[in-house]
Amino acid sequence: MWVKETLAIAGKELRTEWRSRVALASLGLFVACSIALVALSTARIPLNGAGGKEIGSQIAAALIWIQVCFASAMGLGRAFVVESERGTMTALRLHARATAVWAGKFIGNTLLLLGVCVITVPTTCGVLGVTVKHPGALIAVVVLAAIGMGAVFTTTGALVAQTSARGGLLAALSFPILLPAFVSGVDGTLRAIGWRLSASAAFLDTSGGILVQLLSYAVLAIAASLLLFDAIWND
Amino acid sequence: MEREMKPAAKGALFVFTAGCLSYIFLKVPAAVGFANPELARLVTMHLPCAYVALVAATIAAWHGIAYLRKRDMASDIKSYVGAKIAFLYCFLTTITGSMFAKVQWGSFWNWDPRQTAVAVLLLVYAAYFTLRASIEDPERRAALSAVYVLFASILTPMLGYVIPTFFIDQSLHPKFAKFDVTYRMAIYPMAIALVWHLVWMFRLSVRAEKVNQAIAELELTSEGGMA
Amino acid sequence: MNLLPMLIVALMILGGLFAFTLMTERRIAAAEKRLAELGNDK
Repeated sequence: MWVKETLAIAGKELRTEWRSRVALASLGLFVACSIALVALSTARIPLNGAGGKEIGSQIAAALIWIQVCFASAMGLGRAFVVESERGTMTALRLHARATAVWAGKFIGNTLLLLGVCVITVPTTCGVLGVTVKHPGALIAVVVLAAIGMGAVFTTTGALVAQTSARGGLLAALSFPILLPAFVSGVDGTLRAIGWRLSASAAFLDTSGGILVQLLSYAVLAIAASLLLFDAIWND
Repeated sequence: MEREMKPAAKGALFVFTAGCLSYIFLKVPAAVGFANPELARLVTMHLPCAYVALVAATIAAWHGIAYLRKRDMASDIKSYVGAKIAFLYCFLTTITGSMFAKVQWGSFWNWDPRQTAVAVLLLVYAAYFTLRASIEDPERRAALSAVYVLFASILTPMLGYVIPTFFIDQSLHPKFAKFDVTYRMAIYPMAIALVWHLVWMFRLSVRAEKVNQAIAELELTSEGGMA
Repeated sequence: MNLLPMLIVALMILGGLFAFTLMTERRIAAAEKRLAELGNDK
């Protein structure tokens, strides 16, 4: 029953998004613009020279997650704002349990966030000339970080939707909370790229701990959100 | 009304604090191995402030949870005051830390991971106050800020201790510092003095907040009556 | 002599805390008086 409600809300979320493609289009444009800025601003850095790989991987790891954070702050806050603008919040309150609403929106948000990552990660790596040594590990890092971040953005998005500030506040409320995921995400990306690791080292041997960090962040974020969402939603 | 601290207790607190201070300046030895051994004594102010920030964050979270369970506006006020004091002590920790950094590491701000994390922590509390300011309805404001203050209080030890200690390799801060007994004898009593003071300040601020809200409400209704 | 800057810092912080609380006490007393007056006017 709960699963059904969740899937119904997630499905509705994705269908409305697919029909208008507002979030997708704006996120795509945002990512495209920021890639162009990255390419322009790093043009003078000698990425092909001695030590260029080293610099390139550090910049790539940092920029990927900065872009993901800002793109999410723009795109993911919409879920609940749209609901309150259309006046459909009351109907949703009557028909679904709070946790199901949260879970449905969370699925929608996380898929959108993964969409952003699918564009950002390869293009940023490409622009900076980075070759990824452990693609599987990179995918694991990205997926786990996206789940944790999606959970946080869903909860803070619901908070912000009920204030008079909305837009700017979402970034201010979420970024400090995202910091642990951000730090581990950058670290994990660096290691997946193969930064300062010997060529033969297996990813899990040296850096498995980072996956554990990201997983526990995601679990914590989801648990805290499910516990607290009732207070945000039914108020 | 909150219970007020008795004058005798205030006097005792004053004497105790003065005692802690004289101990720091008269008895605590200079720490060998620092760029400026004399001024290494600053940790005896720096660490207690960090401890008190943690205590205040716990108070804020405790009353935040209490609000979500019982929906009593008094808990909201207490949680808000707790967060304010936590912010104050995070700030004091940053200030004393940055002075320590200046005399020992050469610059007020080094972008050391722990410094950055605490700067972010200050932003968390700033975001909390902005969140409060952006919600008109008192009950909704209380509920939403109770939710956010829980995140803030979880982040206080995370950003202040766990992430810089376990997640990031390079730091100017010591990882598992073992202090000399003379230093511990200065740090813990100073922390006690500050917590003691916190109790006083907390009760007072709660009272002030309540009175201010009551006055604001009365003024609002009397203006409405005149119009 | 070397300790003078730190003494100033410590006194500023602790003195500031005490001064702040004592001032708050004064302010509350005044505000509570005002509240009582407002209550009487009604």
